[in-house]
Amino acid sequence: MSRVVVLGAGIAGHTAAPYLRTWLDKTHEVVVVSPQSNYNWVPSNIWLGLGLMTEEQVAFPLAPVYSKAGIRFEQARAVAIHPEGSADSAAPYVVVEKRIPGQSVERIPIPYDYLINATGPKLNFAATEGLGPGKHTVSVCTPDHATEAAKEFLALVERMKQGARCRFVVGTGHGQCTCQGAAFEYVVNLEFELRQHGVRDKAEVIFLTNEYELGDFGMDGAFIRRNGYITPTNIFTESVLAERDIWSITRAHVRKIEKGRVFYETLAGEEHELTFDMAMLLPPFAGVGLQAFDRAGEEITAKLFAPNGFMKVDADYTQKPYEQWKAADWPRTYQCPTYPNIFAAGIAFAPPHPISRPHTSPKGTPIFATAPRTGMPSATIGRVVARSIADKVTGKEGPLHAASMAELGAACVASSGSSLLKGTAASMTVFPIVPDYERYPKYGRDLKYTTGEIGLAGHWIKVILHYMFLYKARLHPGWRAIPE
Amino acid sequence: MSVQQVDGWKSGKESATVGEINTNVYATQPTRFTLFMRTFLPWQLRRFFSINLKMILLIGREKHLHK
Ligand SMILES: Cc1cc2nc3c(=O)[nH]c(=O)nc-3n(C[C@H](O)[C@H](O)[C@H](O)COP(=O)(O)OP(=O)(O)OC[C@H]3O[C@@H](n4cnc5c(N)ncnc54)[C@H](O)[C@@H]3O)c2cc1C
Repeated sequence: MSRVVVLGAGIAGHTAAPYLRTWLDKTHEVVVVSPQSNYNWVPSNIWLGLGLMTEEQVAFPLAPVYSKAGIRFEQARAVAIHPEGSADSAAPYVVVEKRIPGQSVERIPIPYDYLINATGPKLNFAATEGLGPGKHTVSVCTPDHATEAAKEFLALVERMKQGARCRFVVGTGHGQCTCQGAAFEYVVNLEFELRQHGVRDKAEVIFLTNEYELGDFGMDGAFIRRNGYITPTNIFTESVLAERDIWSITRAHVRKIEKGRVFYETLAGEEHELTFDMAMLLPPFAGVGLQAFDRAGEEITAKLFAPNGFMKVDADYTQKPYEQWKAADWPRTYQCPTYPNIFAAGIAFAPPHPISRPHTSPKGTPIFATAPRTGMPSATIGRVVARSIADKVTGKEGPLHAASMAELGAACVASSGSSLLKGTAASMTVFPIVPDYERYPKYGRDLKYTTGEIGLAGHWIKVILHYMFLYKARLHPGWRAIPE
Repeated sequence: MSVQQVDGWKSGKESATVGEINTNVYATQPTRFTLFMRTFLPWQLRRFFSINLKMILLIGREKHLHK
């Protein structure tokens, strides 16, 4: 009997665990550890953050789903990995902290034969003074955050209906953020909702980003063949903002936020500030802070994790300049090089380097988009890692399964207005996610599969994806037929 | 790129040291025809199938690579 422990029940972990359950017979145990009782379909938090959906529409309790599927669920937070076991036993285990109702937090060891780290990101609001919920800005990263954001937005709409003028600042809250796609989606939806509420003329909407150019999205932008031209995403993104009269500030590192005021440094080294009535600024991401210890109890965190807290896997982590980056630097199997029974999936793995070209201000502040790991690759990596482990457990010979982000494509539908007849969304596909200049020398990507367009059809697809992926996540009949 | 000192412009706030803001006035703008086609049902139904097909082909390409 083998036990596979999956840390995290987000897009990557919640893809890996059900596949493992399907591919392993009942003599093997699949355990999921996650501090949240709910599964959250994160992309729809954008709509939750504008009062267009309720929390119940974007999240559901995991316990009944796992109980029906035969997966053991521990609502707990993993804190440490002991890959060599303890002084008493060589069996590896992970320590989790469980909150027992009415009692203090209890630390419990869970032994494993295979471990998947799918803990996603730590939302590192602390990196910028004054950033985040409970301080001076809102976020849409979790259902709680998005619900708060919606309250603040709707309260301002009411004030504008009474004649007040308001400024909305949306974007990234630090020079080293990723996930600009989500911020972009929120800003265009917010602008659409201001129009729906009839208060657009009372509002200024500003997109504040650490990207070098609009449309970088942490993937160094992309080129799309359209209307007889090969056009960079920068042009499309700028156009989307222009037609909505949304202004933009690029190359900005937000260094401090006070009530109604954001202080930022630009790549040119200038210091500026901007006032606001509501700011939705995403935090930078880091690893969740798992520690690791050897058999003697000595800390070996640096052996398993990069300094930013993400887990080291089979990537080439050699430091080298942008010009020398290669598609082959990116991991393929997500196996930990030092402990082969540990894997990382989704945002939890350490990328070898960013995808976008790094830039530093004259003051030495790095200001550029870091590497994104969006939903589709996170889920695909979760499935592929599950397949590799299932093969190992069942004694199948052969190499591990692979899913390099330099060989994976991504489809992304960014809503730009939620209405069944008047809404629109930008539908984008890129192939591969990480540009490969050896295979595609000029643009780094296959232009046949790198596409983008805006229209109502995209909005319908976004709505269908919302219901389809929640259906799949609830493990309803036929869930495996739905692709990641 | 168009640059404008915006603080205090519309929202009547006290002036702050705002830097360059791109008001995007020189950006590519869609024509009225393009805007119309974005929500014109027959065309969007066609695009719906076409975008879905593109995504399925993309997924198919990945599956083929990772077998
Ligand atoms: C607002 C927003 C909108 C987005 N929109 C899109 C989109 O439209 N399309 C797209 O492709 N991507 C989108 N993304 C990105 C997408 O959500 C992520 O790529 C995806 O969630 C990553 O999956 P993951 O499993 O790695 O991490 P997560 O989904 O964050 O899951 C991490 C899991 O680990 C758990 N966890 C955390 N700490 C611990 C611990 N110590 N022990 C155990 N478990 C732990 C968490 O509770 C959670 O269950 C969006 C992101 C945001 C924030």
